[in-house]
Amino acid sequence: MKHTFLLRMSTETKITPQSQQDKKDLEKFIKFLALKSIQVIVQSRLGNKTHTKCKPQSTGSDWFNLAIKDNAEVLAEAKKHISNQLPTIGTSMCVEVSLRTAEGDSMILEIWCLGMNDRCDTNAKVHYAVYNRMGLLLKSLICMCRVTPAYKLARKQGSDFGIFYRIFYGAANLSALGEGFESLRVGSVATPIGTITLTAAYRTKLAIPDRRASNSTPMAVKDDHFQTSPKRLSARHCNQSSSGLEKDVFAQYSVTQSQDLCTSTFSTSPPDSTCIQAPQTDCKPHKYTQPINVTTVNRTRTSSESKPTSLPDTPGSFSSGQKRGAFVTTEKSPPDQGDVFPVDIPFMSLLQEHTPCEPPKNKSLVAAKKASVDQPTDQTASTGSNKSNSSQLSATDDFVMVELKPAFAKTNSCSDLGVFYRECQAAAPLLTFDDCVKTENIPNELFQNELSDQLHLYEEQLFVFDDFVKSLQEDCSDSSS
Amino acid sequence: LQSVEGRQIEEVVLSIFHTLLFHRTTGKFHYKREGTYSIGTVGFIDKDCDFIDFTFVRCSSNELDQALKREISAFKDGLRNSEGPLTGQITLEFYQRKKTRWPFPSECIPWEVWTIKLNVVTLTNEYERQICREKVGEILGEKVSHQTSGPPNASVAATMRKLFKDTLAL
Repeated sequence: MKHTFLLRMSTETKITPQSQQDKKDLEKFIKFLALKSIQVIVQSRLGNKTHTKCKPQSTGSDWFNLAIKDNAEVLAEAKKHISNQLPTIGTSMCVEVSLRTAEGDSMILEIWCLGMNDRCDTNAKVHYAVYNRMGLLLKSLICMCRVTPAYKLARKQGSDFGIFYRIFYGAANLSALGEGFESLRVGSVATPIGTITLTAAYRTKLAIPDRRASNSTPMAVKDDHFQTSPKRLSARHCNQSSSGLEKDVFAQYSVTQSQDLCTSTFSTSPPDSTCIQAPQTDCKPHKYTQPINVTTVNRTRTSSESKPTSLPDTPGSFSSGQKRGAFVTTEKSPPDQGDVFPVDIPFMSLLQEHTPCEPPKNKSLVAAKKASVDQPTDQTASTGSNKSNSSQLSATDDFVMVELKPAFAKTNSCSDLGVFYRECQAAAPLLTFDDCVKTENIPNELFQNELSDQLHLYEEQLFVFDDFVKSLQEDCSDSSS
Repeated sequence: LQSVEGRQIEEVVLSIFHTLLFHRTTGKFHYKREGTYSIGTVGFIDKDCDFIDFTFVRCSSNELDQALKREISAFKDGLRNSEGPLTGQITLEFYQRKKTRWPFPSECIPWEVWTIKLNVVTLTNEYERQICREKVGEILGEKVSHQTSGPPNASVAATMRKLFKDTLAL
């Protein structure tokens, strides 16, 4: 389809530049740009590696001369939104990517926005110039999708957490990304009806407050992470069905349980549109080993500062979820107390099996461990506090610090890590300042005088520099005109 | 100038150069008859780094990958075998080849020049390695987003002006 269109193009543009046909084509281009953008974003969050082949001859589906495969499910969802509306001035199309843990916690990781502003470029040729730039924009998007933190999380998703997406029109609520979110400008394409912009904003604080702190020791929290899916699934399932404004397709964590989990309700997102999980293309057990999964979950639970984006995170909701789990599923294990806080023996065996082969993961892991060690037993306190609670250390240290800590961390002090971290982060002092410190006040003054003299000299000669720049700019404009 | 470990050299350079090449690669052109042509399709592959926490995208062309690896491998060997402070740079240049009148050889006009300067460090323990692994990954992420979201639709005049100023280090 597109292939023949390409062949037609060059002759058509000569006859009727800026014609009605151009306008129609531009709309079509924007539509496919939106569709392909959604494919690129969602496919990069499936947790798989992409591999598409180059083709010397394009076929109908190879829009923008880029081999972006269409995932049927994603395409169907995208078309629902694209068929009625396209991104126009003032109305952006957003793709929101969020994370949900097995416990039912969720948070928005990033929002990609395809929008348009009113800067029109009437000279931009729809055929080829705009089309090719859209291709470039998609290439930028492909590269950028691998850069944000959500990409790494998506690659690690498994039974502990899954990545979801949602498409909607309107303004993105960036405050949902927590404090210190960052923005990216992927690129823009000027067209005769406005400039298409593609931007993204992403969360930098990847943490979910622990809502079970009031019920359990940190040990039990850890324990739960090590559990294999059946027990936790009932809990998650309950949490899903306990609230429910919105239909949700949840992750299929294993083949056997997928039937039970296909649809259930959630209250996590605004009710205006459907939230669909990035489809898992394989339902096999996750390739990452458990300790790595634990690592990622730990990391997401690191700081207790960021809020859960939506689920009612009260201890009550969890317990009510438990009750419902018994009715909803026919799980092998009844959702009893052991469901949430399993006994020590399976945990110990898992620990022995996995932890010795795991290298110290990274700095943030250490921080994560410390944070989980430090979780106060009180739920309310846990939302804001990072202070250590040394009374809890003995139990958790055995599990967390001994097995996974970096070689030079000490066994029992909470401050060591902080000290070490500061040491690593602090830049080495400049030699000049070193000298100043050594020789105390007088050289310091001398140094300052010298510096101010120098600054003064430069300021005096500022006009020389200005003239020089001006002359260069004149040169530039001459040479360009 | 970025400090990297010896074993990271290849991946640092590959990830930056491959991203650039992917971004600047077009599909194969087929001229049909006068004034008409069709363009082929560019496929791509996600490539995970072994020694850096980073994934980059490259064109799905093994020939391109091998050509790049050959050059970078030579660069790495040169860097690792040299004496004294291990610092080096490698450049990727996009240029236009312009035919000139006989007997002069064809002229090469550089369009873009990308240079990576590396400082090779030796790390003593796994913890430092892990930090380095993450940090280099972060820096590569910044570089990639810088590369791919450059000024859009820059006119030739603006590009030339920028080139002129860059050359004079203004």
